[in-house]
Amino acid sequence: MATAIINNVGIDGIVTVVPPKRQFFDEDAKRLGISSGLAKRISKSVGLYERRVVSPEVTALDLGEAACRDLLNGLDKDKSEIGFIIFVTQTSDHPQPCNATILHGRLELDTEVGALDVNLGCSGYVYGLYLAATMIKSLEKDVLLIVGDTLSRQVNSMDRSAGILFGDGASATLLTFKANECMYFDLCSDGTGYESIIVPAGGARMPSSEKTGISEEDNEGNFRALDDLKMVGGEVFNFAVRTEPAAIKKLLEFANISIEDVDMFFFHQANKYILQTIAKRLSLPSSKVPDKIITKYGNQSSASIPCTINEIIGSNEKPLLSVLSGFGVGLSWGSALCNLNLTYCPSPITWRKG
Amino acid sequence: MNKIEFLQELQEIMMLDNPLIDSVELDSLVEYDSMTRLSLLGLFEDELGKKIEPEDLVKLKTVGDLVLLGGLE
Repeated sequence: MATAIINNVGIDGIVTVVPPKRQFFDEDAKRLGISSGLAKRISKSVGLYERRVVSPEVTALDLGEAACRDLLNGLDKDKSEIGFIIFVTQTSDHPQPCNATILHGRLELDTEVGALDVNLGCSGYVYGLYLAATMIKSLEKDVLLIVGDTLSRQVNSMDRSAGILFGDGASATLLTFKANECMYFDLCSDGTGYESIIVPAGGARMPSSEKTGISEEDNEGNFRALDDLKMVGGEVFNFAVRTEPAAIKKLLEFANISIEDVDMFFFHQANKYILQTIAKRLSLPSSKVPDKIITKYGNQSSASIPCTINEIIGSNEKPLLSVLSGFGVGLSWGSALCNLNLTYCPSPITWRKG
Repeated sequence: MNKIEFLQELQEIMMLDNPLIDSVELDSLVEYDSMTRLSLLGLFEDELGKKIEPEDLVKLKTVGDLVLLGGLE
């Protein structure tokens, strides 16, 4: 997509919710028979230490609902001001109906409120922001954006590449009319790389069956079934570190903003080494590029950018000119430039199903 | 980056105690795994100006082949 500017919109608040269970990397390493030497190298390079994972009865929808309730409460927002809800997820409760409509019912929103899901992962937060921002002007209402996944349940626990990486979580973001504010976007896709990150079975192309549930060992000793998420690490690395620097430069050029004038760069927390490589290629100081969220929460898919914002900045702080940028499954990547001047932005909340 | 610096960096990436020489077979190094190869993708592009793909690294036999791929010999 060409770059775009959307005027008179901004983010009012963000809440991220994570489950209470902490899964430690040293436990993962033991389970997978990873030597202590390799475990040290993985931990240092990727930045793994612990991640939050759901219990089987909790879904992204549950986490998203908890995030919405806290956000609306924290902003003291009347539900009648919401015109649309968007749920970005790849781990919805059912193939049909979509999460957004179920959440609509749980939140008891008015029937005049539209609801839809977006099937995207690590780029999904920025795509969701774009969709929400475009709706603000036409609806003259606030838009509630929910992003989140439970990818810890989509991977094979005996897969050394994906099985140690993902943490669960969901975020709710409220976008609203803000005079004199604007958001810049750059959204891109490369469908020729769709097999780099994929769950092969479970859709119409290859329905799940007894056969697709059988784990098989690959040539690197990873066990994976066709029902499990597969990620080709080297391809994803090259994709991320080649597309991201160019995309950020393109966005800032479009906005006529110097890279030095940006206060913070909130990248999708894929992997510490990837973020450091992107930062190096853009000559960014490490103080402007948070890269330790994965250490605490794991790779949280679409929720990792808002979780990083919740972890790094608080409510009612001075506005920060920020780049938000995600990249991943699709292949898909998106970047936004906006002022973060949040009325409500608590630290990530640990939520227990009551 | 020259050859000596490259070999030192390779040793550091794999966290090896002993220095590497050209004749060392990559198959003999358990540390020459997907994690190391991922780090090499960034190293080749950023330090040596060589854009390589993951499969370029899989077919190499020795440390010397890595040095050659980097254009350091």
